[in-house]
Amino acid sequence: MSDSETDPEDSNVNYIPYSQRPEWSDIEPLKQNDGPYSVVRIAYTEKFSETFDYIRACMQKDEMSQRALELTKDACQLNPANYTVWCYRRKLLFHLNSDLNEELIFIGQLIREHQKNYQVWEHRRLIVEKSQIYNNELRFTSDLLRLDSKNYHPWQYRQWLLKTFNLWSTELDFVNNMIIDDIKNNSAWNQRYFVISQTTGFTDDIILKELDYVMNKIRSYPDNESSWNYLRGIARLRTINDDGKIEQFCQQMYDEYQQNECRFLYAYMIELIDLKCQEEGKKQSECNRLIELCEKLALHIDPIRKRYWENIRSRYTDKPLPNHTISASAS
Amino acid sequence: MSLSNVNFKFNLHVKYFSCSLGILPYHLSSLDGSRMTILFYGLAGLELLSSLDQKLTPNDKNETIKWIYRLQLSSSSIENEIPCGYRGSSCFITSTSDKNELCSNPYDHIHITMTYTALVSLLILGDDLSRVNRQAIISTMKYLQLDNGSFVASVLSSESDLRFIYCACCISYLLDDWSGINTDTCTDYIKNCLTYEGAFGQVPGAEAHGGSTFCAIASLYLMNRLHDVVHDKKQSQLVQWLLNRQSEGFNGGIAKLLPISKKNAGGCFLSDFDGNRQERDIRFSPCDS
Repeated sequence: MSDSETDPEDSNVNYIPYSQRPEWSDIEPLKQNDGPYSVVRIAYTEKFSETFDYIRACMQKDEMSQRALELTKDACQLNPANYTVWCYRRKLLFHLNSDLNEELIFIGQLIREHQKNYQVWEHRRLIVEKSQIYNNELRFTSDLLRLDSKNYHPWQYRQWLLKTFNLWSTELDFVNNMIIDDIKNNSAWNQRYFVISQTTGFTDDIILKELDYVMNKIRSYPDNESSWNYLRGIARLRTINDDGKIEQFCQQMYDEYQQNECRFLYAYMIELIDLKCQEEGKKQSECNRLIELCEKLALHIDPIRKRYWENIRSRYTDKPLPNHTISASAS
Repeated sequence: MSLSNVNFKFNLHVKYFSCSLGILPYHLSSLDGSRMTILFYGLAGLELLSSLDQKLTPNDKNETIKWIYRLQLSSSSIENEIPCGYRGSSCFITSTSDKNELCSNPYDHIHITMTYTALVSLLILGDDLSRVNRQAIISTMKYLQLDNGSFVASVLSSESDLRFIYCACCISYLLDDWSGINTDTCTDYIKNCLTYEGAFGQVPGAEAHGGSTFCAIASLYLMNRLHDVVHDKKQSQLVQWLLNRQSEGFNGGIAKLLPISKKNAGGCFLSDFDGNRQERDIRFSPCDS
């Protein structure tokens, strides 16, 4: 969706309509034919309508000329979401052997104005793919991520760059800095997983290192779903799981954070106990712990998901949920 | 669906959807190529609010149906193989023929999302799809599906991700014909979009997101392949991720804000799973009056 903008006709008093340009006098502009009854009409400006009347005429005969290229620039700026015009523009650029460095500057400006538009990012990707001019691209995406660190588009583009041009060497540092800047940035955590899975892979050694990394991050800021999701994600990859490392960590966190109960910790402890009971059978002390945690979540810490926690609890006891729990701070 | 909260401004929502079928202001001109999707949102919104007949007369419905069919692109013969389906709007139609056959304009092409939303819109309006060129549309999907199982939306565009898989599955389901898509490679691609968080990103490696997760689950469900990908522990991980999206409404991903589509996505598919049913206490945020 485009950002709201003032009427472009106000912005440039020097604008000359195409119908008044001598170099376009041979072209019969093609009006849009929406039929006798139309829906979801748009209140086009005259400039918009006219530009697209000329685009239609050029596309109809697939004109490959410099003037058509200039016309697509106007059209793309008026509607950067129009993938067909971008397609036509690319065909023109490649046919005319245009300077693709210049094109990268142009598309860079447009991306800054329309950061969540699919087509502008795709255009950049295709220009870089064709030209193989990629040396500035990581910096370009990190500049955009500085403006909006969770924007899906630069992250997805960045992943393509890393894979296509093998630019992995500095990425883990980059990700680490993003996490330091904002530990709750889930996109950065996802990127961490992506880098490791695409380079070294999650060997047992790497998993151990990553467990230490994420456990430290959790200790520094426990109430963060992203780091817990990362911990849970990599823990599931372990082939060696008998050192009790994760259970000990959870127990430490549970003991240290009695005053400041963390719903992600409790949810994970429930998952671990549930898994253990399925694999090794139910032990009373562990069941009691699970029940207690479910009650704390349902009644006190995470009531919005009360029924979910009730449901899990109900697999371990027939007793109804009590009306209240004794909160940790009172014990 | 019973709403437990009185903040829902029913009439304003009806008005909003109804207005979207009329004239959109200039600052929404980025929707020029995708007016078909806005038509779908408007019609589906009104239908969901049981207000379609109140806002559209039978004549309105008939004329809207005709508008949709004007955007259908079909080949004139079986030998003349071109991608068939629907365009998003008339903006690149230069043919003066009423038959909507291919003319020489190489930029007049269908788009998979527009084909899907056109079909659903026709059904909402009560059309029997008798004028739909079903065979051509199903055959077209072969042009649009890639070796890795995903789909591009159009021969003019190279973007491929879960959104267009969803559209392809919806089209196949609506036309009750799965011969146009390879459901095995499609399922494999969706599986590759599963992240360590237990939900789905738009492409393999991308961060899990509410919209892409909806597309993944809905596609698998329509293909009857849900339990190939989401079963046992994977199902419980996914359910927990989904439930964690709920704060007031449902958010699109962790720490992201929530547009209407993701609210619906988060709410809609929790009920696809057996067990762990969380009764939805959906509160719609107050809309601007």
